[in-house]
Amino acid sequence: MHESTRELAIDAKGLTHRYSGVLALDGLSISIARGSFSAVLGPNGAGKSTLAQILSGMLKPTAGTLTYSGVAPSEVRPGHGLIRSGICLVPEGRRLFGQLSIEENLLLGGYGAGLNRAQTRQRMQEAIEVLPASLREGMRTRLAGMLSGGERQMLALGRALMANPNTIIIDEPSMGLAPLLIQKVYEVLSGLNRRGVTILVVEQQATHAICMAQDIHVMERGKLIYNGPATGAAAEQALQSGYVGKAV
Amino acid sequence: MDVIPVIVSGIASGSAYALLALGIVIIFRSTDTVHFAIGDTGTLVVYIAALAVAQGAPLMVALVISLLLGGLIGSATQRLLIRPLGHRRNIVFIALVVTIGLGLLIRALIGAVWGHQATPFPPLISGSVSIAGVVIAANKLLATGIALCAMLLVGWFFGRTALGAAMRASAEDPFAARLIGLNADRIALLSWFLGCSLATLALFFLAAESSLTPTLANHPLFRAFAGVFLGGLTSMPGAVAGGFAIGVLDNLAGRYVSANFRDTIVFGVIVAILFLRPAGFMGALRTERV
Amino acid sequence: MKGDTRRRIAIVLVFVLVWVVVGRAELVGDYGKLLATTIAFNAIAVLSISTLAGATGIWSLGHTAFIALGAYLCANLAKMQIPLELIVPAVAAAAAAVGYFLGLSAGRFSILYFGLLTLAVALTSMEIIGRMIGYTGGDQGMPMPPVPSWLLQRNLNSRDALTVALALGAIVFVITDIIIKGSRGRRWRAIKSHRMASISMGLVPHQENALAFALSAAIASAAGIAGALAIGYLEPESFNLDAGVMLIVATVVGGIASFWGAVLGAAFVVGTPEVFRGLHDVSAFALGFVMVAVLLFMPRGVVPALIALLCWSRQRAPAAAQAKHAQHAQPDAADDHEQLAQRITALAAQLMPAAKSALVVENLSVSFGGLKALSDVSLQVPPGQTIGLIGPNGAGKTTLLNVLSGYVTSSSCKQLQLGQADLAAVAHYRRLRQGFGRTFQHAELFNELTIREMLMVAASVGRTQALGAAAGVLTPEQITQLILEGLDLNEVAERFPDELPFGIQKVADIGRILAIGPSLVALDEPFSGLDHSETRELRAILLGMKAAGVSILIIDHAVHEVFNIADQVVVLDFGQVIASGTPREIQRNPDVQRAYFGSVAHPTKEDAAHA
Repeated sequence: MHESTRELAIDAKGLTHRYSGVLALDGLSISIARGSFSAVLGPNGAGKSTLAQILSGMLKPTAGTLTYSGVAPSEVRPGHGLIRSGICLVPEGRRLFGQLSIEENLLLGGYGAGLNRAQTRQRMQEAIEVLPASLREGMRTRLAGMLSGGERQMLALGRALMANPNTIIIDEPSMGLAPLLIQKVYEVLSGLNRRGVTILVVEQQATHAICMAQDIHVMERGKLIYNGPATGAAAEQALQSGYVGKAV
Repeated sequence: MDVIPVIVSGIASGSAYALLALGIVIIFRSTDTVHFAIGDTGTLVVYIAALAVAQGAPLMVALVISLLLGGLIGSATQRLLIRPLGHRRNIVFIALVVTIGLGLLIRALIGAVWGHQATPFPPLISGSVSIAGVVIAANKLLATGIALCAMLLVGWFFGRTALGAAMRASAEDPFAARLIGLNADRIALLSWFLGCSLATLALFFLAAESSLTPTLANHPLFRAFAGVFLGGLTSMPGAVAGGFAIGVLDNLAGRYVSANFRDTIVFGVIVAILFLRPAGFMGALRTERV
Repeated sequence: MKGDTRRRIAIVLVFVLVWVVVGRAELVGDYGKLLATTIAFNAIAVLSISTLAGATGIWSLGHTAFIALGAYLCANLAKMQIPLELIVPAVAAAAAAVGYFLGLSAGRFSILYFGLLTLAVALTSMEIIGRMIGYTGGDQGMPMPPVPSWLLQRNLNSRDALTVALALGAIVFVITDIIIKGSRGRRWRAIKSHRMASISMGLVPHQENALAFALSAAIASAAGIAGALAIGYLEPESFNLDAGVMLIVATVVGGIASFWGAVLGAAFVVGTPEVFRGLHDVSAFALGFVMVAVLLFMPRGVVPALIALLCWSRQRAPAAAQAKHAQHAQPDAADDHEQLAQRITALAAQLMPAAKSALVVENLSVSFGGLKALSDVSLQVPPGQTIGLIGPNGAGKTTLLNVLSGYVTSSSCKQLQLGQADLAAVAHYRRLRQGFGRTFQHAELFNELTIREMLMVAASVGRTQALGAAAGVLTPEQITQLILEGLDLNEVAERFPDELPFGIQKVADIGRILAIGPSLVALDEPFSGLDHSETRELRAILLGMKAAGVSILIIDHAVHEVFNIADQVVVLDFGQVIASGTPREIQRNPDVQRAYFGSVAHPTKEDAAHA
């Protein structure tokens, strides 16, 4: 296991979360190494999205502790996000501003992160390089709501990039996308990872994640049932039992 | 053609309704609250302005200060009355009823301090102008002009500035706005500032037209609501168009059908339109929250 | 039942007591009598607003129109020598008719819009009153003509105003209580709590809203009659928007859904101006201030807040219920669940008719804008069979269920039949009548109904729709009791959904379906959010239902549970059916594996890097 020798970008201990009577997370502990490309996998209802929201600071857990490397504890205000500390969430469903243009969506990513005009312009240039060519057309006129699924996923990623994050948590990037598009998304993530951005993918669809991620964390009913390399017999068994369960 | 003067004066009247309607929609989009006391807020500020003018302040200065004061009272209302309501079930109706109560309070306050006698309020410019065969007070024409400028400014603000885009984004998806770091509290304060400021602008000129009374805002506010219905509760251009349309409709009804049934006709038309298009002409029907 | 009768008798006694003390015993002077009369008819007016708000969530600013209708109609009928005893029902009927018509339109608008429309009603009614001079005396108003009375064999005079107000008050309050606490009121609260869920239960929201509106209009008209007699002079200003706002203030301060609340609220808005006699603005300020303060600090009203304070000991106990539930699940032995399954089988057999018709979906396509959610989907649920529907997120399962429920229309469909009925031609609230029932992923219970009340509504709906095997045989009370016992819900019967753990909520959702008794049940992710013991319990319940011959369509991500219970499984991906067969076949199907969680033999990382 290589985690102990690497710096932990996110270290979460004993996360428990309850809402409207549902126990979404049950004392879950997870560590994400800095610069790693890892994935949280598991069937629906396992609590993955809840975990993603909590790790990114968007949701305050009912119980548990969170530490982030390079972020003072006083800056951590659960529920208020951690954009200014460089941790971005690209949520399930992307949550773009459909009535705003492509450019406006990107601009707001910078605005929300507190960038000034010059910084925003610079970040836009960098973000655009990552985006596919089709998104660079009609940036001012095309509304985000009119884009195709693949374009929306890329735009959501681009919006997150505007904040110059050191960690990106991306929830269900493959949802509704054809395999080729999913591949492209993962390529972009891979490229970012090579440049030092910590990537945590949360997925139900394990195929691509297993290829790209170094480590996987498999969840079932709010608990982690596997934590380790993405390949190997142990991983496969965990995936099988997590998704399909014991044989009929 | 007899109709043109009626329409022209309808547009002039409609500018006040459009401003109020725009204020109502800006506030609703950002905080899901129908601000029943928006007009009364403006009235209160104009009373205070009248005090300043009586002390010798120039009217233009009084106008600028009024806009700022109206905005501040609006922000204060949001912060002190609306935000504490939190996120209960039926928040939409509770907030609405709170603003009804606030309106009551403000009107009572005005009556207690200044009395109920109609007080004249000076116009920025006096005299009248003849346009398309109708005689309009110069001040009313100025009011229409300033109102149009204000609306264009608001349009520019929302369409071309980062902060305006942030406000539109926050109105569309509060979670996503929070996600990318936008400050929901600040945006709420700002929209109430803007909405109430616009209302104050409308009341400032209405006071010159028909003199100050505690219930000055009642009639125009109802017309503004009719305009909001027409244009849809969530559409800013719709509110503006609706406000002007109501001004024209009101005048047409009064002139051609019956001066005695203006309210009935105006609201009758609205209800008919709503039956055909429940979201109004330009608004998108919000999913039910109640 | 006993408590209800006691309460109604208490209400009548209060009115009688006031009549004796104020009217007969000469303990208060004329002024006191006038005050009591004013509070009485205002209380009736407040009741009209609060009934509507409680039943539909609509706060009406325009009910003064109905009060005016009552007053002016009474005056005009009295002019024609019609006695009060006839006037009251006639006026109430007229107001109810107008209210019903207006209320029907409420279905088209969101509650907010409708509330704003009542504002329009308030304004236009003023104009209309002003213009119908022949009947209303116009802006000048008109004096109340003498009103004859059969019972008293003479004309009523102003001294009778108190008696009339109190008598009307007693009648109106008791009738309203009977309706609100009865099955009609439960239906209204269900619709108010959760419109969508009530539709899928076969309730028709816009009709029920209209009925609630009719009732509240009739109540308001009674207030108008009493008020007209008390004041003796009718003028439009009494019914203007300010009056309407006063009623809202009274309702807010007193609290809705409460007899004492209506009285207290009325006393408050009548008393405050009296206290600040001559200082109109101070009075108005006090009214507004108190209302805002109440909304901020005691949002349900003063009376409910006081009651809550006094009844602090009545513990809301989700912990207790959970502990109970955990205890119940403790003997984890398979026998326990075996017994549960048998109990449920017996229960389901008794309540749900064995399915005779098949659900047939053929070539269903649904597009939203440019997005194709479903393409050419076909599936069948033969009678008495259990069909599982699985697929990854975004595959279209929810869309399919929404089409079956009637919330979404298909873009094209060859067939959507349940037995003989063409579902596509049937509105969503009529689908239940055809035998199509469903449960909800998040239970979607009714927040304002206890579990028992919800089951009662469901059972009575099942009865009126002639569903259910026990429809003609058992009463709703009996059916409710059977379900509470069969599903072990007796301990939580009087609790509200938000006090209950999620697992119990989901069981209650199933109970709701059992109470209604459709022949086909579509289960929407029944296993989502459940822990191990809750899952086992649900499994037993579903097996029980299946054994009773109910057709089941189960949609879930808990694939192994679906395999466990389904006879056939259909797999969706990207809006298309990619496989269909027995659970065994599906489990081995490589396409399914790939679609769902990735194939076992996957490309290596090097391959991916070069892609």
